Amino acid sequence: MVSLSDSGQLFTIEGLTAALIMIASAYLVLGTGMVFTPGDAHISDMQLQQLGNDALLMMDTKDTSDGENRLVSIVYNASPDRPTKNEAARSEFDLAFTDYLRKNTGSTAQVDSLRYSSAIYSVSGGDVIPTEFANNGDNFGRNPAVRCGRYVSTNWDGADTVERLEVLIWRD
Amino acid sequence: MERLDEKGQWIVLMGFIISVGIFFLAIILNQSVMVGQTTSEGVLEFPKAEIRDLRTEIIDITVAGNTPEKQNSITTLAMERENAIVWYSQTAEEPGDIYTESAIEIHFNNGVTSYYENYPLFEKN
Repeated sequence: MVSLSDSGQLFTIEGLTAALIMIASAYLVLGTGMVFTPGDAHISDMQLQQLGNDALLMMDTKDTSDGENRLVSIVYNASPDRPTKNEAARSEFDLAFTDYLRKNTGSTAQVDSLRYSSAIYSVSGGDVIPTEFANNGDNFGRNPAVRCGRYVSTNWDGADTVERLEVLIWRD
Repeated sequence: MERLDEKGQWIVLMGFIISVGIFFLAIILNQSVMVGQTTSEGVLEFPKAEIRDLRTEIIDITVAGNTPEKQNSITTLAMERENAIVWYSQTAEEPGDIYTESAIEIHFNNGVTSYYENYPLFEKN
């Protein structure tokens, strides 16, 4: 065993430098083969979809056992055969849904970056007919959006059928 | 400049060992961005919210009285909007002493996940 001495320091430095260069080049070569950004892991998509589904579930739950279901009354009023109530239904949905999307503890500042666009799908004569509904913001940047939906059973365009309210949510 | 000698070899050896160690740590760091990918993709793929939604809707509709229009719109919407085959029906009512018993059969299949439920219904005589 060689005892510890201070000779050969230049070789040590040279060896360390060479090792660093090798590590750096190997790291660069391996890193350029695949560029993997955190967005590819779909973690934020998953969280966004959970949030949207939870918000719709809260709106689709009755306050009391025989109480009024908020989402059902919104979709009922959004029906094309009730044109005088459509605007009120839109603003009620917009108010409630954006409020749920922005819920936070209040202890930290939250950037209000969630936007959405919604539509109601109904069935008429075997065909699915989309009806444009409330929205908040435009997705000009083609930001990745997730889709959440909820079935609603109510009177739509004169018939007791089931409709589907779908919401696209994205981060601006 | 010093001339080449064989001293300090263990220092060079340590340098190499440490550099190999750092190299493997760098690979681990490189892979760490993929953490959570499989989990979140699994959560996104599994139609938890859809099945729960359909289930409550179907039970509510059947208890209140099913109609062909409602059944048709649910199955059509599920197929067109979610690429899922959905079917439900109520079994024959069997009268008992206190309750009339029947069941709602719910079928869901979107090609990846299939779900079947036999939901018992008890109606007081």
